[in-house]
Amino acid sequence: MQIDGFILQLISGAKITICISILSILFGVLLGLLWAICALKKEMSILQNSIVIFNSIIRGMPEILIIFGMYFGGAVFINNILHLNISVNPFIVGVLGLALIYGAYAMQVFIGAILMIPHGQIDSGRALGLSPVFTFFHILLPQIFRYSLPGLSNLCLVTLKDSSLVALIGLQDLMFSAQVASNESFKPFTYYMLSALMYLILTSFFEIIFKIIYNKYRHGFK
Amino acid sequence: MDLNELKYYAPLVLNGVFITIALMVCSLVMGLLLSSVLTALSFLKFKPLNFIIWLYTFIIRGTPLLVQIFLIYYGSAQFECIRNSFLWHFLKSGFGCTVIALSLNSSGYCVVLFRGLVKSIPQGEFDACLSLGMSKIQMIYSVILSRLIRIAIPSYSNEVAIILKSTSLASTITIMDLMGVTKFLISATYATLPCLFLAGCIYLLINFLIIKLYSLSLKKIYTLRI
Repeated sequence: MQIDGFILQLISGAKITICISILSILFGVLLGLLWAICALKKEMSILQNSIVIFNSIIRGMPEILIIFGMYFGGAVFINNILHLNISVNPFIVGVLGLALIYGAYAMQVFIGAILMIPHGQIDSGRALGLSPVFTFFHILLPQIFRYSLPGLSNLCLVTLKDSSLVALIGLQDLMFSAQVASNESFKPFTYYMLSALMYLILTSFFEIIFKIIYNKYRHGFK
Repeated sequence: MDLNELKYYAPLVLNGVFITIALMVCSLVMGLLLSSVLTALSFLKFKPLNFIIWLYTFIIRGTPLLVQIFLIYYGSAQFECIRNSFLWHFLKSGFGCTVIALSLNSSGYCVVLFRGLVKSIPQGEFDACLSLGMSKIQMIYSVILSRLIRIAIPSYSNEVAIILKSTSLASTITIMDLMGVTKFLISATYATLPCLFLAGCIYLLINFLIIKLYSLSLKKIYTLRI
């Protein structure tokens, strides 16, 4: 099997894949946590309902439709409706789209994790005179992560795999470079197999990292 | 895009919806068959076979579906022997490739799901069947399978929704499913936002219908049990 010097292209594509998935995971975790907290607040029922509806819309639509909608629809929206002359960057759109999808699924995981924490802990935090913000960051958040890590790690692997969709909006990630290489060399099987192998290595790597983080968070906890 | 244009393009969109649903049903049936066979094989306690099934699920679950679809559609044409064999009838059409890729993908996830479900059946049921003098085939057919179907249906609904969403990837290999029709309409009418909105609504509608169908069938199954 000859690689014909496309290996460097594939590696630089893999770098972009890693970049885009890590960025979208970070944004997605923040988004999911924010949505979960808002959805569990009892005072704001309009906000709560709109978040739940928005979430089920995102989870009901294909990922490719969301990314296409954000890229092509976003370009039309910015140029024709807002009348701004800005070209839409596929990298930013890819990160935002994947973060939106990740956040929508992560919200469910976070809601489950928050509901697993007994309410007495929040009450005792209040009784000790801690501020709600302090209670959240120092008492609730570490436990939320402990409970939600298994679900989040699965979603991270899904995001890493979904990041191949950004090749369709023209970002030079691993999938895109495999496409270019196979079109140039007329050896599609070789290059798609190689890219599949690289995705496999990346997902295994992510899985190992998550196992390490999980063991750290599970410390002193059965 | 005004209403007259919509009337002109409606058959195209309906055809796209039909292809999406056909893709979904075909790959669901094939995936279910394949994953049932693989699950049954994985309980034979034959070490090399178990390793092969583990490797299969590892590879399928570790690579993106887009890569799998491209590998089957574009990659299979690289070999002369495949192009001359009977397999080429399926592999030369985008529809066949998508069904193969989707059913392989779904079976990779389902084998793990089904294995977990089979393991969740209490050992006492197997023992009870044996003590009643049932043969192994009788036991699997009349006791284990009916129970398995009952507990598998709720968790399988996720898989159905995922496959519906995955069929949109068929548009990347020239299939005019709902997503492909949407892409075509965007380039034909330049009405990007309405077309995408329409496609999103149709996907949500199909998803909603599936969920409704599921809850209905679930009710039926749980009333049958009592």
